[in-house]
Amino acid sequence: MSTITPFPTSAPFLALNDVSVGFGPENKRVNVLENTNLEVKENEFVAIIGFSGSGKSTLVSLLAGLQRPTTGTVTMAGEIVTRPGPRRGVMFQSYSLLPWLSVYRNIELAVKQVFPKKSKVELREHIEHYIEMVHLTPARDKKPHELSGGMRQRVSLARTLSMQPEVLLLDEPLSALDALNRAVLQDEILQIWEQQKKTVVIITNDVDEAILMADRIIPLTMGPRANLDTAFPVGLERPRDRRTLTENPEYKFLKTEITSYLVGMNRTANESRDSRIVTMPEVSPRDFNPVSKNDRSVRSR
Amino acid sequence: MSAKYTILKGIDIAGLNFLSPVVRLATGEEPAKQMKEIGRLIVIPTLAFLAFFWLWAVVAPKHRTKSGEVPTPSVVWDARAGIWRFHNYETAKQDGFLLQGKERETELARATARIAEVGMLEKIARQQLTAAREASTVKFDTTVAPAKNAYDTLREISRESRKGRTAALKAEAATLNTATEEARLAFLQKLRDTQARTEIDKLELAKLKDRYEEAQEITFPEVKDATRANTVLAEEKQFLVKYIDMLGKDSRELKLAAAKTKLKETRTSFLTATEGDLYRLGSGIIKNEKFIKTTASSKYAKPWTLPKQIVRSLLCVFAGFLLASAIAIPIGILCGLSATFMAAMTPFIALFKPVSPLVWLPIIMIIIGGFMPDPENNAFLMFFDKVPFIKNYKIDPMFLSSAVTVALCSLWATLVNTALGVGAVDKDHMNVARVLRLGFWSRLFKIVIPTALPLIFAGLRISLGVGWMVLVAAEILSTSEGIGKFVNDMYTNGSSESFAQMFVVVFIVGIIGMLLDRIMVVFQRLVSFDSAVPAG
Amino acid sequence: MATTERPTTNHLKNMKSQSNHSRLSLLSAIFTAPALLWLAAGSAHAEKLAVEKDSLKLGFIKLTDCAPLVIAKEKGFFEDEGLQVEVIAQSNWKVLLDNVITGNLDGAHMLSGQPIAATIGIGTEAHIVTPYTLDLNGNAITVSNSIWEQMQQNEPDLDSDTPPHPISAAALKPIAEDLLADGEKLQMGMVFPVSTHNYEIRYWLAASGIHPGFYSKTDVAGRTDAEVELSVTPPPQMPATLEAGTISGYCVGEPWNQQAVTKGIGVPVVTNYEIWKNSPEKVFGVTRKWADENPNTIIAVTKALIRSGKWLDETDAAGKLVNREEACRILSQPNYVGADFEVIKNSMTGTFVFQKTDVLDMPDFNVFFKHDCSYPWYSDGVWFLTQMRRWGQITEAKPASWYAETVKKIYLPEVYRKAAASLISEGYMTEDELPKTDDSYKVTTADFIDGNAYDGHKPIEYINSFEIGIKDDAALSGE
Repeated sequence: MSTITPFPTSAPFLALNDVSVGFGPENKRVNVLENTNLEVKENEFVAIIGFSGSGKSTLVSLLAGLQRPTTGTVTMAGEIVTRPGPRRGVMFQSYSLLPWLSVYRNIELAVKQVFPKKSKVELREHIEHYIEMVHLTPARDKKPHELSGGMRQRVSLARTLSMQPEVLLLDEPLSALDALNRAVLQDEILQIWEQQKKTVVIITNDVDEAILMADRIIPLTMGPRANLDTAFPVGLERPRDRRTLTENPEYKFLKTEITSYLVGMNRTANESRDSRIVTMPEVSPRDFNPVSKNDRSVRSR
Repeated sequence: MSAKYTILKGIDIAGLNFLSPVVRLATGEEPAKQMKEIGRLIVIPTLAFLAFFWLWAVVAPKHRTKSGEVPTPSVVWDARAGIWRFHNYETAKQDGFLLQGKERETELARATARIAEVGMLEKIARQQLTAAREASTVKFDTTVAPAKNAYDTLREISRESRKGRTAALKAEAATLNTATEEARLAFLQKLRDTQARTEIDKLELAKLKDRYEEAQEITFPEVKDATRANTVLAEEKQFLVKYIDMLGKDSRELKLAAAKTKLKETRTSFLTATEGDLYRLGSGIIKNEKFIKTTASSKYAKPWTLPKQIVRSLLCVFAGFLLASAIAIPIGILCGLSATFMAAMTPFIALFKPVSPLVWLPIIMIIIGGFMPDPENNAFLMFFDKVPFIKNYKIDPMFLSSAVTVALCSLWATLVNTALGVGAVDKDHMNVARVLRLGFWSRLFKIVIPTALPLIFAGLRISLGVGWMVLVAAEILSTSEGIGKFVNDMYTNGSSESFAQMFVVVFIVGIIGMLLDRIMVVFQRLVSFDSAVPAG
Repeated sequence: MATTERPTTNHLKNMKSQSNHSRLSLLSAIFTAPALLWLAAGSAHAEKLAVEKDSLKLGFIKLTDCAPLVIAKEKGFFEDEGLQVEVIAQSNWKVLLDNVITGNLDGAHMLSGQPIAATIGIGTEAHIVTPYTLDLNGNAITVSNSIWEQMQQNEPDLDSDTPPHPISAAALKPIAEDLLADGEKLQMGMVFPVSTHNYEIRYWLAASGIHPGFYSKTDVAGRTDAEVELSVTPPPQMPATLEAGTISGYCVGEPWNQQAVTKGIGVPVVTNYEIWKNSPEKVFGVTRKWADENPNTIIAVTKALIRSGKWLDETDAAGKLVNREEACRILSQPNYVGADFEVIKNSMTGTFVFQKTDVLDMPDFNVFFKHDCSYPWYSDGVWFLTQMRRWGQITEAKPASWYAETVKKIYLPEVYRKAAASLISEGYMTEDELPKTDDSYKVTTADFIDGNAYDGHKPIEYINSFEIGIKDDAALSGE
């Protein structure tokens, strides 16, 4: 199991330093994340895996700057992250496309904002380039409700990439898709990553997906008071081919190990839950909000 | 095939869903299912409407109030024709006043010919009316006379017997001077009995009187029809007399010509006149010149007719609606954006929302009256006199008061819905905005308002509906020309036509209200990006 | 329905002889008619007044006595003066007055009391003036069927198909007293606090000893000491309110009394012609400001109105009103009075229907020109002022001189005279149609239901002559 792994060479590019996030009044605060540390090297592809409700989305919000930690700091290239910005592109689980804008306009909104100095022609070429990248050129002028779930997520991906961020934060981007679409998109994301080599943090609950895509897999312990545990390095050679991967012994080993780790974690969590009743706060973080309108319309389709 | 879907989509957007099975049927799609749909969406409502008219036609004549009969559908239809006729007459007079040359002369000849014709017809109609009246008098006497006789006879009898009884009692009283207590008490009892007897008589008499009055209420449709026919002709004649005046002696052309001749004459004599006359003739010339100037631009002062009043009502409701939107949308957006602002506004919304237009209007009239002490020369109002189209509808303080009342009563729905729509912006969309670092205004115009648009339009739709309802009430109270004024006028007229004319207005107001709602539905559908808007 | 000729009371006989007398003067007017025509033809192109304003908006209330305004428009009298006039219905007197004050209207058909009340500050204060009296008489008091029945029981003479007229309020007194004993009051409607109707119904009630109540600073409804409660109801709503039982009677102008007869919901008992023969009714009012700014226009309007009044009162050789039918037809248009032609005709063509069985000839029920009707008499103004004082609407005692000065501010006989002079020169009017008066006061008259004499020069004595009413210090009359 000694294949070449693109291991980071420099200091951490993106980091969580002793971060805690809590809710509720001070004397009764319940921490969603507690004393969490994370170090992501430049151009590293990190997958964070955990059960739903363990605070994965909070983690993405922290990294993106959408949410400030209660204690601790988030840093990027040594600077403390205080607010969101186009340097850290986020791809949301719910696509977050503006339903009244076409594919082109949705991307244009981002591009115009990030590259205000581009001329009209440059702007159009830039946008069309990214639409092409996600194979959506035929659907260029369609509105989100005319697209399938996979296509929408592609638009979302194109929009995020078009901002040319240094870090890509993917918040369970494929969890709402069917298996087939999921596979296609995984491959596309990988392919683009291979070409562009960006720092990527993907949140997922799918072990296969994590192994297929990431350099490192970091499990998130069960919340509340979730924490990041020791990482599982993925030493598989790239480019990884999903057809042959399942036969790979390292893959099999990793899968078994991570799965049993997660199952074990679940059991401990259940046991501790039995012994000690923890009431979750009434207020749920905004990011856990139930699915938005788009998903509703997806379902109704 | 694509044309079919374009049509179906158009139908859907316009909210005319009852048409879609027809289109589908025409293209041969599932005929059985479409027939069922047509039955449900077209046939059933039509039947319901027919049933309504039938019930109306049957029930109306049975319910008679003293203020007039409830009109049947056909009477209402006639009233509609009457309203239209009045409008046409007045328009003709207006046009006639301005006609010139050959055209005026032809029209004058035509009107003169027609008036002779109408005179003939009127004579016949009058004869028929007299005949119908005579017949009805005979019928009235034969049906009413027995009841009247019965009443009169009983009245006479009871009056006589009462007189007799009273006299007898008085006589008896005279003999009781020395009577015992028992005798006196017996007399008192007698008095009581007599009183009771009189009461019984009164009751019986009242019964007969009711019957007599009931008999009097007999109606004579022949007389009514003859009167109506007579009235129509008399009105036409009345119109023609005035019309001929407008085409003839009162026509602008002739008046101007006469004034010009006169001017020429005066001028000629002025040039040769001597001192005393010089002054008189000179000022005469000036007066004449002024007269010519004002006459040249004069118009027939046409009274407001319903079609024009409807247009003015629409203008008024749109003015109020625009004002309401201009106030409600920005405030609603602020409310949606800022919980603090919302908290500040909530008591005002709660307090002012339930206030009736009838309360607002007098207050607003006083305020607007205060701002415009001299409406004739008010710069703001004079501005409207120059705007094409609108200048024909005389924007006055009453119009503004009604419009402001409409605005005040209708803005709440838009305000609350806007606040709701803005408040309901998707958190993820806001996150996208934050990641993109959109500024306040781009966030507002690119994310917040587009998200809120469907709800804003839902609010606007309610507002327009409320505004339309409020307007008619406001116009009744403010006597601002419009549908409300028409209703008020018809009500105050208290003629036999009034009741039916108000029914006509009910339908007009209803149809216009429905159309306004349809238009708003279309807008609402055009701006909403996902789920369909219920058309109901 | 045929007119029934039958014996009348003395009072009515007096009236008839009066009308015969006036007929004579009318006959003389007819003899001069050809001369008139000739004059008119000769001066058809007489110089026009240079009007300051040529398009006017005049307001009116849907009552038959708006006729002079409507006729002046429809018969082209306004147009002859170079005026294009819009005649616009108003919903009530208050709105009408406000519209005149704010300038939405140039002038209007007004209650005689309105210019006076507005000028002296009862209700809305504004200086309103009048150059023209639109009509005489034309009102009546109607009671509901049940009140009528009770009156018939109280006064058996009334229980007839043709009861004797005039009917006093004596038969009403026991009804009002019975209600008072039960702690209730008889409710009656009138048109406006300063309307002729208010003073007429008060006069009628008080003449039979029924107290209609005083106004005071604190009691603006005028119900202090009232035995009968009077409330304001807009004329068109009178029949409906009566039918609903909210009021038991009302005093109003036509066609609303005839409407009650036609619909069988009430019985007119007395006309104001019987309460005060030839009482001034409506006037044409404008603001002082408007009159000052448009000195020629006001004369032009007055000219048109005089011609209109003359047209309305035109009679043939037999003394029959010849134009009334046409006038009724015009008034029945929906934008004017709008009531049924038949209903308007009942009151406008010289007969008055009290009940279906009781139709009386009343050639003077609506007077628009004869009896020097249209002249703005100072004495008419003083009469209204005395009634306002009698019932406490004028809260303070005023000297006689105040009465004379006040009416001079309101009535504009000089405008009327100018208009008349102009008409005479154009041949539309004769000299003798202009009243001969030095001071614009009518001679003393006792043509009231109670026979009380009225002299406009002696307001204080007149106020003090009533049994019911406020009394003033007699010394004020000398001031």
